[in-house]
Amino acid sequence: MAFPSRAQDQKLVLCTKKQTAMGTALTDASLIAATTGARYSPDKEVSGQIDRKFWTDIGLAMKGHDYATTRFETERDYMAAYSFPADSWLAAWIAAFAMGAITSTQPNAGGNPTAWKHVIKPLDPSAGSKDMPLTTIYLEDAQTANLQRRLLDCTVKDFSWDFPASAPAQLTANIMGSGRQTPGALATPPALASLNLLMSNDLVLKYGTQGAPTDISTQIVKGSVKFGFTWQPDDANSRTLGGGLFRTRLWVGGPPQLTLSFQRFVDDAVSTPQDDWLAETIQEVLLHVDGTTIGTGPEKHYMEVRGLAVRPDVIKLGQSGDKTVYEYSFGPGHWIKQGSADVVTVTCQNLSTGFLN
Amino acid sequence: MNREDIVAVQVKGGGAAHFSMGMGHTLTLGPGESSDKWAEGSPITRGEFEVLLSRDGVFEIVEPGTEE
Repeated sequence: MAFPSRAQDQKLVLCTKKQTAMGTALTDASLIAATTGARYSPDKEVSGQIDRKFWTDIGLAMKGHDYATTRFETERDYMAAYSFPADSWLAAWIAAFAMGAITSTQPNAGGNPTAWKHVIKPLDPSAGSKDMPLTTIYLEDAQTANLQRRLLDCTVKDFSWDFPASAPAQLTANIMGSGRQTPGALATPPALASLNLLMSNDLVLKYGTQGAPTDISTQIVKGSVKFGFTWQPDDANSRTLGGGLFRTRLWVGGPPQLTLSFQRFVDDAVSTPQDDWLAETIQEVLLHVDGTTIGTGPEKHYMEVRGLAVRPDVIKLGQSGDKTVYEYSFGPGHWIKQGSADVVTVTCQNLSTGFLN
Repeated sequence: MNREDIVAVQVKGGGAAHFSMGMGHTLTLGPGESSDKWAEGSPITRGEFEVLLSRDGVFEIVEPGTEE
């Protein structure tokens, strides 16, 4: 007897751990361990559908007809969009597998040892390696063996943070995998994780002088803030000879693409946004969202992004009552490298002892 | 690479910490622990320490004679 399948009955299990190699799945023990595996509920169902490419003989000449007679599979891939209400573990997991480098420490080891702070940065091919970290995702579309799958070699191709008004912040991640999968039920999948939500209304936005940006949260148009990160896979070199249907490696192929935008309203007589636009002064921008207290505190769940040296484009959008509304935007060319300093850091604080472990 | 190029590292202040970059270069140290190898088994070189581990100020080299 077939079981009915509903989105509510599907299961998604993520894991802090990275694979040891392309094509080597994480163990089921890692996926179900309370310290590494975590089951989350996305905003909507996600698909485990594998992408396939084919060659057909439809274009061959001298067949005597116009049609294909056969086709052969040439490549596999996996791409799917996952979105979640923002949670401190998910924010770290997504950023870690998108950006590729992490340092985790205990901010208060003696007084509050369960709190862990994760500083996440873009992988630096000149310092370490070009190989992005890969993980295995368990996705159960239905309680049927072939629809209970471990999706191998997954990474986060890009992610964004949105802050819809009066709702949790929104995390969206485009997952990229090799298309390898191993079917079969995951025995005893983890219970659904308790969310440590990060709410849009708790967003603090600071902008201004490097090292001491000013809190301008009260001047920000609700729902207007959006941050995004995309890394560039080296597709041309990801399928080496002998790899068959699958990628054999996943290298970083180009600079990460960073984007941030927000709308700011000021009194008509305030020239600050125009000054920001004309001055070309390098500034700092910081988004920070606190959640609930961890353990006995004072540490809290949080997610944060810092642009340590940015120059904005500022466009006047129009009037709203006695206010003037401006849009600040920071495209990939607006994030400035100064010496050996970091350009961007994402920091998350939660209960996990590490990611990419 | 010679023996002098390999360093043992510990967490400043003696706490626990974890570092990871890309597919390799993973280091997890508990309180008071030190290691001269990445989790993947290869030795930690001085260059890797300087480029990868020293930047956040979390890890430091164990100077000879200071191991616990």
